[in-house]
Amino acid sequence: MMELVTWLSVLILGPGSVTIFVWFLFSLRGVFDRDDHT
Amino acid sequence: MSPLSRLDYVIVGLYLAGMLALGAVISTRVRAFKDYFLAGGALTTPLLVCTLVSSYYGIDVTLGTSETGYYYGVVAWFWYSLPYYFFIAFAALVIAPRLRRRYGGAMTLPDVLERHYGIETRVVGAIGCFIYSAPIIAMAGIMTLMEFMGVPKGWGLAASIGICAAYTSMGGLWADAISDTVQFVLMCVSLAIAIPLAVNWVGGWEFVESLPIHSETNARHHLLHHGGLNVWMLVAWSLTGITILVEPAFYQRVFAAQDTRSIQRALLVGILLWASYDWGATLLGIIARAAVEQGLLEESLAGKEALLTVCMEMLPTGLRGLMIGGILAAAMSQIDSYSLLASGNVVYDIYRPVFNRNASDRELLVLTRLGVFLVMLAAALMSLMFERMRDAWQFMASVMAAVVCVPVLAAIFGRPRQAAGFWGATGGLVGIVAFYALLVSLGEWDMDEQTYVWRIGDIEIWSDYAVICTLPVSLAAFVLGHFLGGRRR
Repeated sequence: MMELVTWLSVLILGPGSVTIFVWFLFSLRGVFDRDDHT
Repeated sequence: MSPLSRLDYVIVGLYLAGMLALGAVISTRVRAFKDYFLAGGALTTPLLVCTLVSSYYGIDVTLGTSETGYYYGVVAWFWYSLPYYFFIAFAALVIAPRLRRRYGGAMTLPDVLERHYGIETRVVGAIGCFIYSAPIIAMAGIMTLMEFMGVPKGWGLAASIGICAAYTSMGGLWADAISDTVQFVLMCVSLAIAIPLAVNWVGGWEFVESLPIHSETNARHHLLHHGGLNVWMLVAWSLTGITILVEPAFYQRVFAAQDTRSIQRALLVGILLWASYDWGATLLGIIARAAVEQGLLEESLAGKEALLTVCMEMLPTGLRGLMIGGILAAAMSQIDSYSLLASGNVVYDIYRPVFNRNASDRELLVLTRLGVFLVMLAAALMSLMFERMRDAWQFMASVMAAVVCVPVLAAIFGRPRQAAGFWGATGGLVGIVAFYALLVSLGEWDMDEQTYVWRIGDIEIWSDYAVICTLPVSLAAFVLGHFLGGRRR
């Protein structure tokens, strides 16, 4: 059980956090573009 | 001698330089106080995930949770961390939509208090928020880190404060939130790399066999969900999670979100990340304990250094720099976010309404930027007062819960009378001061646990019980104020 939970945590912290960072990069462009038009 | 090589220092230096450049770039976009304090109310879901996860989980969790894991085991996750996720889910699903619907134009938690209870309650609430937000633990963590790296404390602290204060002062919440995303990835990825390497270093999963067996119960308490602790201690630990419902950073981000769904999604995704991070930090603490039992680490190892020691022992050059960068990132993301909030408490929540109602946007901007520096300095000095990180966290969380929890939740869910808020907040403040005064004056310093314990017959009162003892005082004062106090709002 401990092993399974640990590997799940590693997956979420590693690939999971990088995925959210990529999502952030995509969303950032939109935020600043909108900000420039206001 | 420093455990880091030149390459490790280059990695840490590059990270710090990057943060500074970010603040300078973002500062050009700040035009008004709302741009500065609430990032113009335009934060998107991924930005909110990154900023919430990294701000709320600073060095107190990284070093503090592993410290608790080192001493007590998995109970740190089950009874300290797990209850938080339920409170976070409640905040996401119930509180956030109400805040967005009912408090348009609000920027801080004291704004909510003032709308229901008037300016006096706003000020008392702002004092509670300030004590909670001052980044005391993060400063203590940076000092531990500097000591560990062999950097003189004073210089290390001055450099960290200087860089944090520079980019936060320049860019406000925008710089804070965007730097948080970098810090978020750094702290998560470094922990994700460290976990499997640490398990391998300690000899694989069989390491659990080397954890100590309790002489009375004949069980390995590190592997029990309750850790062999008494039920009151577990309740006290769980109850600190209630602070999430009145978390100043949570309120600021709710008001800074571009819409309600963004903040809700961010909090729910955040739970997965928080739970994983907590588990990783707890496990590294347990691994440190097993390593001590195996003779891999010295027996005198202090709990707050458990995670750092394990990482420095088993990580290769380069990865050590990444890990130190990750821990530094965790501390800095907390320092910048909470210094901004604490400075806002003083300038926006107290100075503006009490001393200068007509303060211009520019004046608020200048004073808040200046306040960021001062808060960081004050927090560094206050961090010297606490021996254990968990004590500092308990103190700050208890002040916050005792002062604002009852009035804010009653305002959000009910229609209390105006006086109730002031009575509840002031009662909580008096209660928490009395609790700590009694604990320090009548209690004894416990050498094993490194904290004050007040013994009355068979009953033991620890600093961990602060919330349990003071929340009822605030509630009683609130009820009295409601029935005996002034008009209904």
